[in-house]
Amino acid sequence: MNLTQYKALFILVTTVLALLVASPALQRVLVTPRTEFFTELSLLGPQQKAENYPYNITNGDSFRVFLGIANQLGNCAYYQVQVKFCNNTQSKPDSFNHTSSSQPSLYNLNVFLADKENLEVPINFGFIYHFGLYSWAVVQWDSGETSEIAFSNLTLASSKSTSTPTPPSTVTSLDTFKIGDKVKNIYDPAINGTIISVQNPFQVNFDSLKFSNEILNLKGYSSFLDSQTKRFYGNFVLELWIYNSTTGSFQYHERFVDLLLSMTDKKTG
Amino acid sequence: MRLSLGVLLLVAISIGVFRVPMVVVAQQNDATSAISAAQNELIQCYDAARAAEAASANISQLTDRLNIASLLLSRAELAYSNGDFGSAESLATESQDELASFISEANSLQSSSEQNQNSDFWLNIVGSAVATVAVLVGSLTVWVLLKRKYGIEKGVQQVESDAV
Repeated sequence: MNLTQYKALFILVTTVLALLVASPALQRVLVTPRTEFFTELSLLGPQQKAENYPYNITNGDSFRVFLGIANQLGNCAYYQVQVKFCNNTQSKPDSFNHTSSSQPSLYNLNVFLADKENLEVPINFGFIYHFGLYSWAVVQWDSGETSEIAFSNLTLASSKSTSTPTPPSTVTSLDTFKIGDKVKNIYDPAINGTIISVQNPFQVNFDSLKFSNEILNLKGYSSFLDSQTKRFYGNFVLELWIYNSTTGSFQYHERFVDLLLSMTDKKTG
Repeated sequence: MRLSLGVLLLVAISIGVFRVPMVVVAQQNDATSAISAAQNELIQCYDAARAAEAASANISQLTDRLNIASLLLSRAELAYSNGDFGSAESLATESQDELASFISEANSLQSSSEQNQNSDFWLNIVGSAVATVAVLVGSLTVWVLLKRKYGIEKGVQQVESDAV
């Protein structure tokens, strides 16, 4: 028997056997180290898909979205989702400058997630609001004086009606007073004037936000009519903050999701 | 007599008037300290959970409990901001109750995980390395023995053929 004929086979069998036996150790040694540590934050629509997000909001109705958080930080994390609301003129979180909204948090949803763990939180939300009753105009009176005066204190000079113009319930007919309208002060009908500018055209005043099972106070929040689209917008913002054990406080985690919402009258949908 | 009755009435009214705000302030203080205690408890439990996770323990059950406790705490904070100090205190206390014996459970999870890791190290790392060396040495020995045996037989055959 010539042993050298079997040398290659012998080495092959030995190598395979050695690798097989060494595999439990190799499994731990030959692991590619994780180099990217991050958190995923997502918002899905009512069917748990990235579509059909709520947009047209009706007073008192409830809407559903799903908030997803996935921890890829390499250790257990203590997150805080800050619920904020801002109108079209208030500061929103900024993706480019990595800054959070300066609006106060209405509610803090605290979430603990182990490494590589994810959570999907169903969120039901709805708004209670009413359309503002007052708007303001700057009127130049015939005497040359100008003053700010509420729409409710004005009447059209050419109109025979003496009734106070009140905001209608539909968004489309809010242009009761326009720049250039000849008006009278209802308390002093002898004085005529012309509207030279309109301030705060009709607004939506918010009362509360229903967030899952909690009622959050939105008194003092309002949204003004967008002159281009004739809609009242509001931004429903969910910011992600993370607990920093070193400082013992939460810091903005530079992630947020938001929904641009249009507040409509129930009749107009 | 009439004067002393009047004074008594005045004192009674004063107590009645000042008592209500005092009760509210006391409730607010209780709620504040309950919320603060619940927050501290939550942070301590979080640290314990992190330590257990660092020892490779599966902490999903621990995070579930932390999430329940933190939800109660969030509701307590909301009740506090709405001026409902009674509910705030009760929810904060519930949050703390949820975390009863949490730290000891996290610690035991951590120590059992450390033990598992230790035995895992001896079995899988050391055991596997030793077995690999044994396979290599064994194979080498077998090869040397085979070589010696067949090498000698070949040599004998060579001598016999030379003699013939």
